[in-house]
Amino acid sequence: MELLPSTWYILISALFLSVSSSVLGSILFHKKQALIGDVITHAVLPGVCIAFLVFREKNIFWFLVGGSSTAMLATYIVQYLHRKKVLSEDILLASTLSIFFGIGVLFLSYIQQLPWGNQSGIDRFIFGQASTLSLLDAQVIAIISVAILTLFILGFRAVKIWVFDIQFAGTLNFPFKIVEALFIVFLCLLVMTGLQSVGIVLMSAMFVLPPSIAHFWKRSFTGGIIVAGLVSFVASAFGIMLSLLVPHIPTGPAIVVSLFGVLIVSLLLGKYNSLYSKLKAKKRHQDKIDEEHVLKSLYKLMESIKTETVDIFALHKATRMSFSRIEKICKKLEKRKLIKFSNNKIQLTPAGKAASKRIVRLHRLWELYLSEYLQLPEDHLHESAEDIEHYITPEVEAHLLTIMNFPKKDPHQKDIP
Amino acid sequence: MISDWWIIVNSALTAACCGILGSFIILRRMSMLVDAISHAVLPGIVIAYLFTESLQSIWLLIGAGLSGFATVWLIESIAKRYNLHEDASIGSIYTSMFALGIILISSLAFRVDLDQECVLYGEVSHTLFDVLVINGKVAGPKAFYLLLGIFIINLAFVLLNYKQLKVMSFDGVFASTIGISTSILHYTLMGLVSFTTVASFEMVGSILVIAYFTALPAIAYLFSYSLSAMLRLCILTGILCAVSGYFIALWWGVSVSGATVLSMGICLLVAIFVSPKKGLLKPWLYAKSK
Repeated sequence: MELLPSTWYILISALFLSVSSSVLGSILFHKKQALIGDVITHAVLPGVCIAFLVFREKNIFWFLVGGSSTAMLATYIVQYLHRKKVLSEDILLASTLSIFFGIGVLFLSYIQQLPWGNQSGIDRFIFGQASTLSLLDAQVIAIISVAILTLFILGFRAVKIWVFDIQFAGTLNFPFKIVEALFIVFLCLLVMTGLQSVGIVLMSAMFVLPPSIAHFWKRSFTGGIIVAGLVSFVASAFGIMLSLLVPHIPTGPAIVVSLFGVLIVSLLLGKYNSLYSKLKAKKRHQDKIDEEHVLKSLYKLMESIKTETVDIFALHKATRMSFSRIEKICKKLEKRKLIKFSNNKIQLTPAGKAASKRIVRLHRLWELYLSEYLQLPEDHLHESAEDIEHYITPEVEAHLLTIMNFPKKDPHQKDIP
Repeated sequence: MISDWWIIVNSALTAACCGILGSFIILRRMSMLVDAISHAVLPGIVIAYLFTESLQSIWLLIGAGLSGFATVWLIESIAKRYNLHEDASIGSIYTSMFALGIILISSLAFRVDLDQECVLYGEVSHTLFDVLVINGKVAGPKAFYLLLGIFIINLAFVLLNYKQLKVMSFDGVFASTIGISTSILHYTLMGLVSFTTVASFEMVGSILVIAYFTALPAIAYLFSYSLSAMLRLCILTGILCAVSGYFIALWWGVSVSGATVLSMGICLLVAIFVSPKKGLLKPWLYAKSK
């Protein structure tokens, strides 16, 4: 496929747009105000229509001014009324966005029946079609994005404080009100410029989806922004290509659906909070419990038959685990030099002896603790100790030892090693 | 003219349908979930429309209901299981569903007559062309009967579960401790919201319907001290806004749904200033009368 020159500006503006919307979107995400973006994207419509009615031409600068002023007005109304506690935030957000959009629809229907003849194409702002992007539009996007990035980098420390600890920010002698005002102004400007390529409803996706994806990959603020920007750009480029290659697919939705695909993948396979990481943590935990179980059984077997080697069948009987599982665990333990494992015979190394001794000690200490302090009958002790022995830390162990005066025998009259 | 009557009646009925459900939604602080549902029913509508090629079939309601359920479930399970803040989860899911719907419309429905403008803005007067004919007699637009049906279902739901809904709206935890199955009620409510959205989307569009669900009950909320008063006031305000919206539209020659939402906006603005509960002018208006 040959790239037309206009494809290049579309791609470059997509790059700028995705990086700067990820920066602002991450700020919104961490301030837990992701839906403010939604209000802004809907509230630009009346402004655009008013600008058209006043100046009677489709001029990007007047649209920018008009759209951003109504968007700022809407944001200000939401924040002011929320501060005054007139209504709860969700009602304010939902009502403001729909009422502003309704007023926009009203103007739009008024414009459409005017006899001026140049009104077609205002709708472009609502659905967005990147292929109609002109060089001028691309330049505006680039200028606004560069301004956002420069301000963000220069004021990084202030922004970070303002995002994560607004109370602390209030105690500092720094004009955070200006930070907030600038943030809103740039948010509105960016929305206005981005609308033409992705459309009204889907511009809010550019703010919400990339930081949500980054939530599954990075824990730090900066790292999250970098991941969000990268993902957003790749998805945008993919969406743009898709809409150029396949007929009847609009750009904005194509970008959002590709972002959604990435979100689903991150949800399943991400590094943090994802399904995969949860299953992995669960498996690691289960492995640890099984390893400790095997070690403890080894110690008990050696204690009862007084030998140095135990074979795998005895272990199978004692632990009731399958042979393959036991073998797997034994190999792991061998790697950590806790046991020697050959020919289905198992021997504990000195380090293994210490480790297994510790588990048995914890088990028996806990049994003693339950019977002394909670006066549980003897047959109730074992189950509880079986669970808790994996969780007792050295500190708790030391405390148990002190409060029970360094005991020698457990309730079943076995030695505490 | 007779068609003017139908416009006002349909518009008022839509407001009433949305208002009674919306009251419980704003009390439960879930307004943005309505925003999500109203956008996210789109793929369901489009898929159902592709099969039936009609905007008034029962399949449309079923398709939309299913995609509404799917959205609510996705949003809630992602927020709960994957530690994503609810705002972010709502924003991510509904935009994606909406995008999916738009792609479906523009890639498949170019053969059939369903466009983005119709979905986003809606127009009351469009609904008048499709009339129900019984025994050769014209018995009014189909949309009216659909809305009437939805209104009766919504009203029945609210009246039958009034006590449970009331407890759940004001104290959800208490409601579940005394044995009210809050999750069934919650999902039924959300299902009805999806149905109502679809029934009214042809008239008001998928974004303006949010105003019917949230702004209207918010006006009633600011002027009432009990739930039943709030519901009654909500229906009354809905009718008022529908009538005034119609006349504004007639006067300026603009879209009826836009004008109705404008009059809701004006009412809400007035309510925010003069409400006896929380109004901004409360200290000046009500303090001296003591």
